[in-house]
Amino acid sequence: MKIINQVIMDQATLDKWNKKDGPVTLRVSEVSSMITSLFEDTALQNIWITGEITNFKKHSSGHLYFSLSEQVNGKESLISCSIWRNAARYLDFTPDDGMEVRAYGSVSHYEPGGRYSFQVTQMRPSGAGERALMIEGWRREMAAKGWFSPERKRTPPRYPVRIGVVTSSTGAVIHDIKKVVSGRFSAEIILSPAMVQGIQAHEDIARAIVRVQNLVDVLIVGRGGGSYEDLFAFNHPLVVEAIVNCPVPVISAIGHEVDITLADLAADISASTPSHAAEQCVPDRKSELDALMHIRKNMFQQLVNRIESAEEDINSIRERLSAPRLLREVRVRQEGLADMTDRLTRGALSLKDKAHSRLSELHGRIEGKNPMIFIRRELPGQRAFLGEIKGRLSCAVMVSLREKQSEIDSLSATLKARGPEALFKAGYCMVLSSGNIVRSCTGLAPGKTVTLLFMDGAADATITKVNHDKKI
Amino acid sequence: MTKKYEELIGDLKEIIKKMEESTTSLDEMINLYEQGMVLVKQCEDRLAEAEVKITELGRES
Repeated sequence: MKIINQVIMDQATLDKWNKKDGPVTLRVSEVSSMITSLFEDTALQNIWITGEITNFKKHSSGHLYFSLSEQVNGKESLISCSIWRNAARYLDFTPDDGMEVRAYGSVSHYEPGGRYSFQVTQMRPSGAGERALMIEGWRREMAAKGWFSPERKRTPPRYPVRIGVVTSSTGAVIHDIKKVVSGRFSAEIILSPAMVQGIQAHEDIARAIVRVQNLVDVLIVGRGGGSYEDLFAFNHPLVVEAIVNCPVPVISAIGHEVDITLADLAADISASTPSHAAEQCVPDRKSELDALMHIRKNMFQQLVNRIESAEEDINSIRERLSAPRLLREVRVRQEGLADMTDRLTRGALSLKDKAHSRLSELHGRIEGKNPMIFIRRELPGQRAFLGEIKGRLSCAVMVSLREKQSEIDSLSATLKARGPEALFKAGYCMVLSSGNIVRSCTGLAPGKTVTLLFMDGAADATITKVNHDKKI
Repeated sequence: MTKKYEELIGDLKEIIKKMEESTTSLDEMINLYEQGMVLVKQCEDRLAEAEVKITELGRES
């Protein structure tokens, strides 16, 4: 089926319709086309609309769909809006329901759907509160990353050779910086131009920083005064991150002194104006000349001092070499020598005395240990002790001897009383047979010869009869 | 190659430091003074060049 995209209505057709009586019947495509042309009114093209976002949806394709609404006296007005992916990419905030925004774009009619919508190409939070909230959110995130910490701050080189400037190539900023630098010091300025306001300013500024950062010794990021919204790009994380990652120190000069952007907080130095930034960047020629003058004077003074001290040295040497001084010196030395001799002699004598006394002390100590002296001292005592022991010993022996004697006497008396003599006296005799004592009649037989022993002699006897009866 | 202004100032500071040392001999001192004066002159000449060069980077580079 052929789709009619456009219907061209020529004057003849219109005339024909006008001649007809009664209401005119039109084709859908014709009315649709008319509506399209009505929306093409300039009053609806390239306009800003302010309102509250409702029904916000982000399509997976990246396109954004929502409505802008407003309530006036209880009556609600609503316009459907869409932002195509390409435009959505450049939004510097995340839209959401309830947000007050300003949207830029054109109203257009979608004929196949019979709908119209506002095609947005740029959009910003409209309330100052919204923006402030967003910036505050960024500020917290950056602070948490340590981007504003004082330890990060670097000191710019005192004498930079190349100064990078990121700003608009047409604004007053670069002019002011050039003027101040040329008045103070000779240096090369490398301008890395950037759009400093507008929907893509933050990306442009960040790119400009990266482009110049490796060519310079210090970098100024600047922008003249402007509204809170104009300075908005300098709060954007892309710009602040580029400043934080810049390999050389960054001096910021954004807006007026009262304006403090997140870029100012992250910069190594935050200057109130571009001129002030330039002053921070390079030393003043006049103060350098003064310093050189001071150096010149200082060096001259050092030289003069050195010459004077050399003269003093010579005078002192001359004086020290004069004859009276030398004689005096000799005399002093002589006296010193004599004194030293005295002290040496005295010292030697005292040493000798000391050695003597030490020797006699040692002698005395050795004498104290002589064994003869010990023996001589101890001998009489030991002798007396020996005599006493001897006396006690012989006395004890005598007593013991006497005791033993009386014991022997007693024992021999006992012995005498019980011994063979007594038995012999009582009438017993001893019988021997072949020299052996006979204690039993068992071994005896008649005819056997035995010897009878008496106290006063012996007698041989022959056995005549043996009686084994015990009862004798 | 010409030295940077910063390097010239650095050299000057070194010279002054040596001149302030009490052990520096008179001959050395005179030498240092002459060198120092040359450096001061160079620095002054450098400061007299009032020229400021501006280079503008292309956007695409």
